[in-house]
Amino acid sequence: MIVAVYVVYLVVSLLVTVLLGRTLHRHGRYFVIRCLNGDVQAADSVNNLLLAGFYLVNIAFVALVLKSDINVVTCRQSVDLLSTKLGIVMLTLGVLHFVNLTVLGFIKSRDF
Amino acid sequence: MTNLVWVYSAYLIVCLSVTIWVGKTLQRNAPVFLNDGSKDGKEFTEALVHLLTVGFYLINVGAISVALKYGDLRGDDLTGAVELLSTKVGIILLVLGLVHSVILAKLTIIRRNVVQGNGVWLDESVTGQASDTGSIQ
Repeated sequence: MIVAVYVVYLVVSLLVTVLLGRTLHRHGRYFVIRCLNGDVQAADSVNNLLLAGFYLVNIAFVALVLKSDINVVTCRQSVDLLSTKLGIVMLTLGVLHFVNLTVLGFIKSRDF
Repeated sequence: MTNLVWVYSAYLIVCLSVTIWVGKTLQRNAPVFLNDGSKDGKEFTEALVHLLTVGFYLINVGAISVALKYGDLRGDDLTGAVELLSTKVGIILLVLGLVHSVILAKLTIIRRNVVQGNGVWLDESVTGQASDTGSIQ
């Protein structure tokens, strides 16, 4: 049972990480250009570096959260464990996302 | 046990549909709230609103997922199930409302900057150049 939980957890978390990374890379580009005062070439390379860093941090976090000490026997326990783990990963990703947005805003103007 | 399955299913369906509804409302109405009619403003608001909506979905779906297992089912009758369901849904709706208010507060600050013309977005020349480079890659 625990193997199934781990497999579903890994597939869903990695899928969310990759989709989120691509979205941030596409829509965050405008903000990076803005932070670097319109230097497009520098902004594109910084954007790629940020994407690599994002993947590294998130995949490491997903891997660290994987381990559990609970003995899973019933179906209910496995659903509970799976939803808690996925929820922790998504909440952390969301909080990090808002911190990133605030930081990107602060670099250019204090009032963003 | 059967009651618990119904409570879990109803909880997930209600909470996820409310989250999607609020997210869609945000995505549809926030650009109107921020836009000042210029082309750069449009590009800026679309990028910003997209990023905000993604964060909104992440936080809320994460909260719904973490809160799934909490709460005890008292008894095997329908009353216990309804009580548990309404408590769980109520807590999630409160979280949704809180996150929504924070995002609205953020949007109001950005709108004030837009109205005062504090140069929230880039000049047209820079973004034109930017989209050219983007199409080459």
